[in-house]
Amino acid sequence: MNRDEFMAQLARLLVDLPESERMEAIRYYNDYFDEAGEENESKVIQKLGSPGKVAAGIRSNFQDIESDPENMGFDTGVGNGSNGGENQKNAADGGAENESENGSGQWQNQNGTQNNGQMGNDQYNMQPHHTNRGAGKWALIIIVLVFASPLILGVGGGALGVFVGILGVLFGVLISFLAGGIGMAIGGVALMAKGIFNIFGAPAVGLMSIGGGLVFIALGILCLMFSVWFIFRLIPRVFRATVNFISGIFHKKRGEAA
Amino acid sequence: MVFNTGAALLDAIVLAVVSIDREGTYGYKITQDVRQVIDISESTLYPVLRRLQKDECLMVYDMEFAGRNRRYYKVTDKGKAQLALYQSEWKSYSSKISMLFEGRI
Repeated sequence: MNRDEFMAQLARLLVDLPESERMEAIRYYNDYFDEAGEENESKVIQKLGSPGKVAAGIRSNFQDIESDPENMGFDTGVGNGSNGGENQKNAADGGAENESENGSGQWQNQNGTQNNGQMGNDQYNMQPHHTNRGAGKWALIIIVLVFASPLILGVGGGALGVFVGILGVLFGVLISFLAGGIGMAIGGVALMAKGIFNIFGAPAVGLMSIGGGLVFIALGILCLMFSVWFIFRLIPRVFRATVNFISGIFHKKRGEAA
Repeated sequence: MVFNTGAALLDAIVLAVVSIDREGTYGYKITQDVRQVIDISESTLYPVLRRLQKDECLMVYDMEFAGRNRRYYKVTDKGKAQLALYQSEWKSYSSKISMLFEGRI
């Protein structure tokens, strides 16, 4: 970018400010470039940062002065009444100021992130811009959703189907372990009971039954423990992962919309 | 640059720099001089000058130089009073901090 492009872009960015403000700023920076000399043109551009950064500083400074001069800690009595033309401009600019607040919402953000904070950025009035920016972003998200709805429905439907399928599989596994565990435990107990019953009539068979019964009881308990773990550990984890995934999509969307 | 330079301190620094020369100085030079003292971005200076001008602490006049019309900033009486205020505030403020750092309150 060369000086002329820089200044042209700066002029464009200041177009929502009153004419005198814009002209003063353009004049100042033109003089600045002249003073630095042509050989330093690119260095000046580099040091100034970007037209956006320069414009943001000018705009926020202008809004601070117009909205509440007392912020600056100066005696306001003289400042307001000094220039009759200035007062008229203040009244007429009520509307323009609101517009520039909306339009500069984006720039305020840039200023906040680009500026090293060496100016004590907190001194600038940032509050009004937050609500406007929030509303604008949500409107944009809604518009994007409406336009993309066919695609979203199709892909989303498919994804939902896969998700439900996975859930079904998990559920089936759970049921089978639960039922199997209970069955084996009960069967084991029954076998053991039979074995004890038979211990006097047919000791060998009886012992085997008792042994087998114990084994089945053990397997049954194992399966039940697995199902318990399943319910109390695995499912919450899956649930949490899904929630994170969905909120991750939302945050990414918001980032893209902005 | 470890410490943040707030708006008031920046105003004070700019007023002090401009008042060094009795006839005032021009924007580019003010920027260079201020940057000798603190490390701030070039784009920060113009809003400060503009605000001081609107608050009538600085006045502007044009003078020809090398075929151009150069805009000079000069401190007004109100600006001098404001600067004096800042200077006494700074003295009190900085000495308290210095004393604290030296282990006294």
